Parts: sequence; structure tokens; C-alpha cells
Amino acid sequence: MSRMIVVDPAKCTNCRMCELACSLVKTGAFAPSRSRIRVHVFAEEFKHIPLTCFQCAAAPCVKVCPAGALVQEDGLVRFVKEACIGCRMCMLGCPFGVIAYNSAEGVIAKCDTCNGDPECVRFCTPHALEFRESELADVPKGRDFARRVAEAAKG
Amino acid sequence: MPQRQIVIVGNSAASLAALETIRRLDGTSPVTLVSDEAIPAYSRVLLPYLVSGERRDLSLRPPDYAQRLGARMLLGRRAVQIDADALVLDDGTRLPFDRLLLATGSRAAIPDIEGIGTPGVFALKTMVDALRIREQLPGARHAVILGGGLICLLVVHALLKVGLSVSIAVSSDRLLTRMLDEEAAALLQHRLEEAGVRILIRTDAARIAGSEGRVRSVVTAAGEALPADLVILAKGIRPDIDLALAGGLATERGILVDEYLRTSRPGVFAAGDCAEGPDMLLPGKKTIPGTWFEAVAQGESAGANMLDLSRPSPGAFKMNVMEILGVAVASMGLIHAPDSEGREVVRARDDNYRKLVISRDRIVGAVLVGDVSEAGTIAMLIRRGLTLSELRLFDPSQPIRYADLAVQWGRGPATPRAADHTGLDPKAESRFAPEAGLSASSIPSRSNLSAASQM
Amino acid sequence: MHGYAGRLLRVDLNSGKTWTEPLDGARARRYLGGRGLGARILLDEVPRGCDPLGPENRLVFAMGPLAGTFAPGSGRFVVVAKSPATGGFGEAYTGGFVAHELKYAGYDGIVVQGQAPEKVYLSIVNDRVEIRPAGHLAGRGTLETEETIKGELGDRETRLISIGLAGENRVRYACVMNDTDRAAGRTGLGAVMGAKNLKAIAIRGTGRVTLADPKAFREFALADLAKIRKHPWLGDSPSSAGALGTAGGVEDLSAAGILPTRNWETGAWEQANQISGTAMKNTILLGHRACQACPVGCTRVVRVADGPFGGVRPEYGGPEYETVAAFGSLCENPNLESIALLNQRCNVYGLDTISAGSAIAFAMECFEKGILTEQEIGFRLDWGDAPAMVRLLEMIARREGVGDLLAEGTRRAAAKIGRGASELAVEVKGLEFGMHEPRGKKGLAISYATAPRGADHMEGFHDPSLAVPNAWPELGVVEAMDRFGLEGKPRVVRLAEDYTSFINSLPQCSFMSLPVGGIRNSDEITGMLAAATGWADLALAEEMTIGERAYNLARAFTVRESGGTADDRLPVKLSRRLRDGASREQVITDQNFKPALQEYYRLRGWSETGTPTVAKLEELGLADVAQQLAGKGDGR
Repeated sequence: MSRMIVVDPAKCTNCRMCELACSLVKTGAFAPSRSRIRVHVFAEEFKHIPLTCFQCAAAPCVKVCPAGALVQEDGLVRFVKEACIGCRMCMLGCPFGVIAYNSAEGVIAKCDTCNGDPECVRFCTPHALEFRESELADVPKGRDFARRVAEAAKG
Repeated sequence: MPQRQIVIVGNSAASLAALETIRRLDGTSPVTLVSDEAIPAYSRVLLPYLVSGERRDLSLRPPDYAQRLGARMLLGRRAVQIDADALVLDDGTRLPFDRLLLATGSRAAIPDIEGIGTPGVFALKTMVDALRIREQLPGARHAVILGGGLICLLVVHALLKVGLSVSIAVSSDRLLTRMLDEEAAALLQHRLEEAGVRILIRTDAARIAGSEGRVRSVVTAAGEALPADLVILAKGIRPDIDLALAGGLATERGILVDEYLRTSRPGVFAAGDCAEGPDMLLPGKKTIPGTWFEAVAQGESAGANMLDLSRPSPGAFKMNVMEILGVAVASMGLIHAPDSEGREVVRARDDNYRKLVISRDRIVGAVLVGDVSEAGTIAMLIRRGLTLSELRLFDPSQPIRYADLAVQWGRGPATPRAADHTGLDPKAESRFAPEAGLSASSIPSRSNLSAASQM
Repeated sequence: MHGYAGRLLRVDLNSGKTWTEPLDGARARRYLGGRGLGARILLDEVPRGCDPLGPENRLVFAMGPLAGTFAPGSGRFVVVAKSPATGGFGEAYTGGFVAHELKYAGYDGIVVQGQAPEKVYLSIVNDRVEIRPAGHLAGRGTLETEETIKGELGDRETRLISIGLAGENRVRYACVMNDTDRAAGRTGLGAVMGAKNLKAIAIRGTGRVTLADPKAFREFALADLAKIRKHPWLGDSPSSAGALGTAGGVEDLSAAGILPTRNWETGAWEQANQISGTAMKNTILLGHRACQACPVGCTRVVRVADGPFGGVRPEYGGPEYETVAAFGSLCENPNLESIALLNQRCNVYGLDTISAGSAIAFAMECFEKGILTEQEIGFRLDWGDAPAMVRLLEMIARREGVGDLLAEGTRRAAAKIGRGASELAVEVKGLEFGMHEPRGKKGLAISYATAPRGADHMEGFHDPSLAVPNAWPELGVVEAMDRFGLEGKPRVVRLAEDYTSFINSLPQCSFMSLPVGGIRNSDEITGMLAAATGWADLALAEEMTIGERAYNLARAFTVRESGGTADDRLPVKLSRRLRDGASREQVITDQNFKPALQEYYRLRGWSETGTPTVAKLEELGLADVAQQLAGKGDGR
């Protein structure tokens, strides 16, 4: 069973450290607009929802990439930057919308769990992000996540 | 799972998706894959990059793919007949099957124009096409693209990159008629024209003129001669149904299939560009989506159904995304409201355009230009067929993000936002007044203040 | 340039022109940003004697080198202008998300001058700056303004600075709001923004902030985070700032006899436990959230759905300590729901909760003593009458009836009322006290008396933090000190103020710094600042000088505009005993305070009249400021 970044939105305080940490380690500067994890805010419900790649087991993005730039490997979806042509079919295939386009380089950008030591998790003080095993795969993962968010939003 | 002899004809998106699905579910049934192209599976989407020289290796799978999946690959072999229980190749080889998948794809549609056979006129459908175009490039100065179809747009960047001047002659009133609405096509046309591409809409080619054994110009119906050292055909696709016809399968434009991707012959399936099946968004109609996405989806579905796992596909709908000269364009489903009950919701700002097509409370299509980050989530909604009411998506003009949907579920059946943004409860006035014996009239007016200010 | 964007955005509302002004490395290193830069700009550009509500006043929004990074507590900026409340240096600090966003848009700050002919708002989207009509936003509250502007600009990620009705009506303690529930509260800068006809500033930035040494920066940030996470108040404990908010200590303050109660008449309150952080947690609290880049999350989020004080929504956050005390104990109001509603209304209208609560408490005491009558107010104003408080707040925001009088602040209102009302006004220089009782924290009295913006509780020192020895060896504070004594306090106050002034020039959240938050992380902050900017030789001594420089700039502006010692005077109430509680034997009189004050001036290098001397200013490289104080010119 592989580890993935597991999100508990109920604990998120909207501090955005995850976005800052990700953008620094991935782009060398602070630029939340280029983070691979994004926090979605619903002020009326007092909900803050960090979303990033679920590393789906049967990932639609991998199936659909025409350039061999997304590969299923060791429980993760690995992005092969040199192969990417920027066609964005993967973005069209991902129902969660967690693949971003890096217009500076003309390729996509996606969470790669920082080689198994995710920076966002390190900087998350309230433990809204954890790096651990999840027994679910792809769409069920997403659905479970949605269910948890919905439960929390009702409360 | 019982063992079955499985044969697949074709070596592109649908075939590979089917093969991988079969192997995920069934590790032992022998699978043979036959393709008339003698090279390992390559990505047709990458062909323009071969033309421009930006890519050399277009392979879709690693070299040991066949070993890894335990499949037998017969490349460079043509299938010519489907017997009762075996596929027959042109050299007489018989491949017995329990299940057969035809994923023969499509060819470029060749228009019937005088001079169409002149050297220098190409389709861009295969590796051979791409290599031949590349050979033609040195010394070429002008390229004319006939048709505003998908391949046309994909190849424009390649041609500009190698320094050609490019003109596009489009019969219809806009580029990518089947994929884009008028507004999106206009945005795209503007971008292309900014880059120096000449676009002639409502323009048919009357003939292709050549001399000294090569093409020189394309003459329009209006009589204008567009100089051309290279002509690329982008007039759409023609499903490759030769084998199906030989085998007596039911066909119209493509090989007819039902929601399980079954053809008229038991045990024989079809998927991808060659298959014509139920249209998910227009019940009762049939369609050939002709997109990479749908080929993959159908391949998966066919693979599972070939193992009798009964996975009906909800039907096909077109879904595609591409980038042209830095502008991303995504299109899915119906690009116009299908009837008077449908509606279109547009959001346009600067260079970003998003249109949703909504019919009977469901999103049935979308066109996006510029920022396409919502495309994946919208595609998922179309595919799952949920109504806006079920999704509690009250304001479709707002960005559609997965997180929004998840939270909307939690909001429950009540209306989304309370109208009061002011933080001032309008009922508060009357609540306070009786509490403390106050009423509005008992608040001193400014004139009363004069007494205070004299203190 | 690393850390900094390297430029300020200038806006002239008279002409409608906007332009950028470079911020070079040398200037950045001298003043840093925040308070230091803001004070420098005021001295350079605001003419002597200028009307705070006139077009010549400058309204400065000052960030600094750490905004935009993940330095803990860096989501912060300072608003600076000549104050309509005090007539001197006005400054207010706020958190939220604007500081980071402005840096990503490419600016270290905004300087607004002039006065727009009609209501406008400023839109900043990276390089694209526009002045847009805001007539349709007149009178609208912060949330409504934010939602409307986000809709107009078509980008929900837009961050907003705005004012509410109070700023438009030039209430003297109207504040500048940002991100719906964050307030740059003190000194009436909302009125300055309202007088300029500037309703809001919308900011969207998609750029980046670079660092000189990202690896070192990250190491120091992680070390700082580790300390914060282990800290008893900042970390994860049941009574932490995140768990109970800043009102978590209300019961303790009452036990120490320093919970401001009944308009400073007493310091202990038997109903303190009804308004504390624990009470909030057991009743109206939904949870907590944070400003950008903050690992603590002291913001409360409350909801009051029904009842007489219903309609309190999570978007507006929740009351923090100052608010809880000002609308609670100070008015003897134990109704926490009403405090939540009053907090929300202050966020909607853009009103400083401290000054607003103080004005209401002042009016209550006037009513009790017959100085203001029921007829003049329009209704009874008994201690603890929560509905009446809500009513009165409305009137203040709208400047209706007696609200128009109270909107002037307690100093001016008391002067107008006469009848001895001035003895009931608890303020210095026109700024009402922060909710901290100096009779039980004598060192604080020195800051209250002398701080450039008036009675400022955030200059950096609260005596209980020095109850044990070796509290701040890095600043040279090793002896334990009794909160009731003035002995030795001037030296310590000065050191704390200088360091805090440095923190306020970054600016960074004070809770994540030494004197206010009690966290020993000055090394980590120095490390982050050096790694961000590339100032490799930066050390604490220089930081103290930067802080001292900023402090003196601010003080000089106040002295230039409104005098020195004459204004360093504590309210007469402090010379009387508190009625009750553990601090009740304490008083502060002119007589027992004067030696401490004089010693403070001397240590600071100021004259006997509290004016920074030429020698001190020259030492800090501020010879031109010395010229200004000598009456020669005003920097322009």
C-alpha cells in the first residue's frame, strides 16, 4: 500500500503554508499561483479545503496522456516533464482539477509528493495534511474526500 | 475467469486501452494484437511535433510492453477477412478467436478536388505521412491547409515553427466547426491571425495546381491562387471499415456498435474512430466522436465487455483539448443548445472564454478558451449526467471546481447563499426597539444635538 | 532585489495618476518597511500642520521584506498617516492576506495622496492599476463590498482593503479593514481613507517573491516553526492562542486585578468567566483560523444564529481579547452574544472596537454620574445594557444624535460636554487605552504615556512577562521585576520598544516575537531576514538600531505636529485606586510617575520635554529630522 497526501479539511485553518512551501520547493520562489496544492475557501461555511493530486491507482490522466508524460509507478502518478507537450489532455481527464498548467514552461504541473517527503505536510501545523497510507484508490478516494467535506460542511 | 482467445486489430489508443483493461482483469487469456503499421504503437497526437522536429520518439509504450503484458504483437500484417471463428491475414494466416476487437481507426478524408493527387499534397494521419511532410520542408515557403478540422490546428504551430507562411482555407463559416462555437472560433482565429496565419473562411478549393511534378498553388472557388509548396488536408476523418465490410458486419459511416461496444456479429466488438455507437447526449442518435479520449474510454469499455463483465458505456461524447500558439482550447459534448429548452451560459473576460450548454438541467457540453482548468471537472459532470439540481449548482456562471461541488453537497437543499451580506440583520431594528423601549423616533435627531454641543 | 519587490505604488487621487517609485536597497536597510518606512514618508511628505482629513495627508500601506514568504507571522502590514484622533503619528497593524498578495503583485507598499472628487476604489492586478468608480458601494459593509468588487473584477482570489460607513462618515476611530474580518484598528485611519473618498483597494498578484538564500531561509523558518509549535501559548495546548484565542486569559487578568472594568473604575469582575475564551468555546465558537503564513490561528470564528443578537456570521470571524474587554468588562456587559454582534458590526462599519467600546463605557459612566442625561442620549444607558450598546454603536457609525458626539472620540467628546467629563476619558493624546490596566502593570504606563500614537499597548512590554529572571537575556533583560514597581522599568521598556519597533517595521505579527509573544526566536528572525535579503552581516544590534530609528521617526512626527511632554500625560483616573481586585492599592500620579518619565526621556536621548535631541537624531542618521523639529521646514 502506498502513501499519499491525505487531507482533512476540518482541521485546515487557511494559513496557506502548504501553497507557500510547495511553490518554494518546486519553483525556487514564493508564488502560490504556481503551487501544486491549492486551498479552496468557503467563508460562509467556514470551510477551507486543500486539494492536490490523489495519485489515483487507475489514473485517468495516465490513460489519456498521448505523450507518455504521465506514468503509473510505485503507487504514484509520476510526471515525466521532458515528454510533456502541454496538450492538457490530462487536465481534461482529471475530474478533480488538480493538474495545473505551467505557462512559463509550457508543461503541466502536478504534485509528486516531493519524493516521499512532502513539503506541504511538513509545514502544516494543524495536521490538516498528513502523509500516510490510504486504502482507497482514485475515484473512491475522491468520493470519500467529497463525502468528508460534505459532512463537515453540514456541521 | 475462463480462458478466451482474444484478438485485437489496431495499435493505437483504443487497442492499447482495451489490452490494458483486459490484462488488468484477466492475466491468462492469450491476446494477439495485429496492426498494418510495422512500427510499435505511437501517438498520432504527437505527429505535428515530428513534422516540426521537436520530437523524434513518438512511442506510446516502452519497448518491452508486449512482454510485460504477455501479448503477442503481429506488426506490419494486414487483416483482410473475418471468418466464423478466425481472423484471416493477407498472407493466409488464420488467428482463431473467441473475442475479436476491431480498432482499425480512421483515415483522413480526401476531398474530391481536381489535382488532389499532385505531389506535395498530404494528409497527416500516420507516421509515414509525417515523415513525407518533413522531407518536403527544405526550401518550402508556403503551406496551405485545406479545411478547418482538428489536424489543421494541430499542425499550424509546426509549420510556423519551421518558417513557412501558412494559409487556411475553410469551407464553413469558422474553424473547427464541430468543436468550437462562433465566439471561441473567433478568439482562436484572432490569435492565429496575430501570428501571421491567413484564414479564408467560406472558401472552397476549386483545384490544386502543379507544375514540374509538384504542387504550386491552391486555386479557390473565387479564383484566387494561393501559393503552395505544401498542402495539408484537414477535412476530417473517414472511419476505416474495410475489414468490417469484408466480414459482413453492419455499418453506416462507421462500424455500428451498441452500448457494450458489440457489433452485429456475436463475439466481435469495435471501438475508437472506426466505431459508430450511441450518442450519450442525443438519445436515439449515433455518433463517431473521433477523439483520443473517447477512443481510450471505448477501448476500456470494450475490453471489459469482451470478458463478459457487462460494463455498458454511457455512450460517446466528444471531448478534446489542445493548445494552438499558446492558447488552450477545450471542447466537450454539444457546443450549442440542442433545442429551445436548452440554454447557454457564457463567461468571458479578457482572453478567457467559457460556455456551458445546459439541457434539461444537465450540462451537456462546454467550450473553453484560455484558462481550461475547469475542463476536467466539467467533463466529469457531463459524463456522470448529474442534474444541476442534484449538484445544487445554482449559479453555473461561477467557476466550477471540484471543491465547490463537494461543499455544495453539504449545503443541503436550502438555497445557497443568504442574501444578507451586510452583517446587519434587517429584523434587528424591530427586535431592539421593543426590548429596550426604543423606537426609531426616540433617537435624537441632529437638531437635538445642538443642546449637547453647547455644553 | 530579494525579499523586497523594490518599488512602491504611488497614487494621487487629485489627478487620478498612479506611478511606481523605486525602493532601493540602502533605504530598505535603514527603514526596513512597515512603521519605519511609513514614518519616514510622513516626515518627508506631510506638511506641518496638515489637516489629517485633507488631501495633503499621506495614507501609507507599508509591507516589508518578509511579506509573501512563509516566515511565520509574515502575513501583516501597517497603515500609517497623520491621525485625525490624535493629530500626531497614526499607525495601525493588521494581518490577513493582503500583504502577501501585494508583494506578488509587485509592490512593497502603497502611498495614497490627494482626494478623489467622487468615491472610488483602486484596482491593482499585477502591473495594471486602475481607479474605478465606487459610488455604488457607498455605505456598504466590508463583506458586501468585497463580494461586489470580486464580482466586478471577475476574480474570487482578489484581496480587499476597505472602509465601511464609519470611515465614510469620518468617525475619528474608524478603522481600515481587510479580508472582511481583519482591522487596522487604531488612530482613526479609516476616516483618513474616507476623507480621501477611497472606498477600497482591490489587489490581485500572481507574481513571486524571491530569496537571496532559499535553503537557509527554509532552515530558519523550520526552526522558528519548531519553537512556535512547542511554545505553551503559541503551540498546541488546551489553553493556547489557537484553542482559546487571545481572550483565553480573561479570568487570569481579573484574578490579577487588571481586567479593565466599568470604565477603568476597577480591575476585577465576578462575571469575567462569562466573556472569556473558555466561555466562547463552550457557547458560540465554531473554530479558529489563521492569517497567511501563521501556524497559530488565534482568529475566532463564531456564529450566533438566533435570539436578540442573532445574525452573527462566520465570515466576520469573532471577538478577540481587546474587543471582549472593551464591549464586555469595560461596560460591565456579560452577554457574550452581544459582544459577538458588536464585533461584527464594527467589522461591517469599520470601527475600532477598543475606541468604540471605550466611548460607550465613557458614555455609560457619564450617564451614571448625570453628566449625560437620558434625554440627551435618547434612552437609558445603564452599565451592562447590551441592546442599548448595539443601538449606540449604530448611532456612532451613522453619526446620529449623541453618536455624532461620541464619534469624536472620548477626548473631544469630553471637552465638548464639559461638566467634568474629561476626568472620565481614559486616553492619551486622544487615543483610548488598549485593554490593559497600567496601575497593575507600571511599565506599560510608560509606553502608554509616551508612545507616538497615544496609549499604545503594543509597543512591546507587559510587565508580567518579566516576573521571573532571565526573561530576555538577548536584549539584556535578566532581572526579575515586579509589575507594581517603576524601578528599572524605563530601561527595560525602552529595550522592548526598540525591538518591537524593529518587528513593527518588518512588519511581523507581534505574537511571534520576543517581548509580546514571549518566544525566544530573535535568532531565527534575524536568520530569515538575512537569508531573504542577502544582508549577511545582519545582527541583533543593527535590528535594535533600526527599531530605535523607526521609533524616533514616529515620535518626531508626533512632536512636530502636536507637542511633547504636554501630551505625555496619563489620565487622572490612574491617580485613583481601583475599587477592587489584586491591584487595587496601586495608583499612578504625576508625582510618582514623573521621575520614571524623565529617566525614560534621558535613556532615550530625548530632552526634558520629550523631544528627540539633535545628538540622538544624528546618531540615528536623522539629521534632517532634527532640522524639522527645530522648526526649519517639514521635509518637502
